[in-house]
Amino acid sequence: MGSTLTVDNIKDSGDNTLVSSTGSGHTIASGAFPAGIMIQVVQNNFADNTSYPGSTNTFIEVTEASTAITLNGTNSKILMTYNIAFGSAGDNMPSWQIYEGSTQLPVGNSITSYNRKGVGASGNLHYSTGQYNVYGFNYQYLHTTSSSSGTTLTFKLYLSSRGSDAKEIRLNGPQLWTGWGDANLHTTRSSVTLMEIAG
Amino acid sequence: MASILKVDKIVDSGSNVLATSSGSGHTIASGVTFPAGSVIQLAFDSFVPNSSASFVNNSSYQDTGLEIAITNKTAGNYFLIRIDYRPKVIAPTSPGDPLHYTRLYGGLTASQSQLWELEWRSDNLGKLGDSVYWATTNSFSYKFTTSSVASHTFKVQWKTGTDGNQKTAFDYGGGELTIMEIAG
Repeated sequence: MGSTLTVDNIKDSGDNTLVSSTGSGHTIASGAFPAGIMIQVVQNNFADNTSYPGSTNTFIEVTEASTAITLNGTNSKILMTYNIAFGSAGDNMPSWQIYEGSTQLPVGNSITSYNRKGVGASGNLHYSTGQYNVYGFNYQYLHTTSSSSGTTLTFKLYLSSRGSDAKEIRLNGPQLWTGWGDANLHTTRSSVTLMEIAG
Repeated sequence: MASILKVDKIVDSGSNVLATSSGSGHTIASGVTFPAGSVIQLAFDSFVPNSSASFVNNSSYQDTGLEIAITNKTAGNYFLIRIDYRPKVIAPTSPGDPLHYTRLYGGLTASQSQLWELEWRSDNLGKLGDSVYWATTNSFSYKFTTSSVASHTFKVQWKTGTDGNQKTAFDYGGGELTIMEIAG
């Protein structure tokens, strides 16, 4: 027959709390989970229609997408999912990069011409009517940290437009949205989701 | 007053270890059953964009290289599968309609099948001007319920239309495949 022991707190010999309870609810200490268990989710979503100017071969930060997470565990992994909706001037080739703090993550390809290494989400957008469309940058990346519990990591998104022929990018709507007399009707929302996985 | 029990190891009556501690760190055993909805396992695969990707016509399904083999920890758990895949498609001047397919293929490793298919098509896009090079974003999620503890395999595949002018650079924009096992 199984035995039952009733307690409100379980600690180890080093006085670290494994489980605590109020008598009507209980919490497992976040540092106790085995590898692979998801222990935290953070989401940043935004509907801003910010217009970013053509960046002529340099990457500029999409500040709305900056997302921070304070780690619950040590050596955790972060699964990040980007769903960014944007419009663009026609005949563009936007490219995207992701940074953790000041460090560029090894995502995307290794195009070195024009220093445009990154993820080409959209390629050569249709040049005659492309400015009336909304496109998507949908991307996942599994980032392995070597940080301790309590450390705050900030993930940033950067974009670059095509070559020296500067092309405007607008978040969450078509680049030209007044041409049909229905401004703001086509806007949508973007999101950045960070999931902390116990390492 | 709340009671406190200090231990370094918790074992059930069947001698299964539930939690262990060294006194300075502690871990719940991986075999412990978590409540329904908990993510208990994650697998990830990806490939980087190919700036030299070639456009080809393949009217039968080809592998993208995105593939994960995973064994569920408990029968009845489900896999939440997420695909983000970015091929580049030509909309030819003739016949004018771009046509590209992406599918999720898999299940039990011993008996795989098509689980989901996504079709990219437009009407006469290529006839509007010169051939259009269309960089697509194929993103979707799929829930797969397991029936037994066994090896499962999931892969992302692609094909074009049957017309020889309908072509795809399948590895142009890279892709990612994530599988999360959720306690059922």
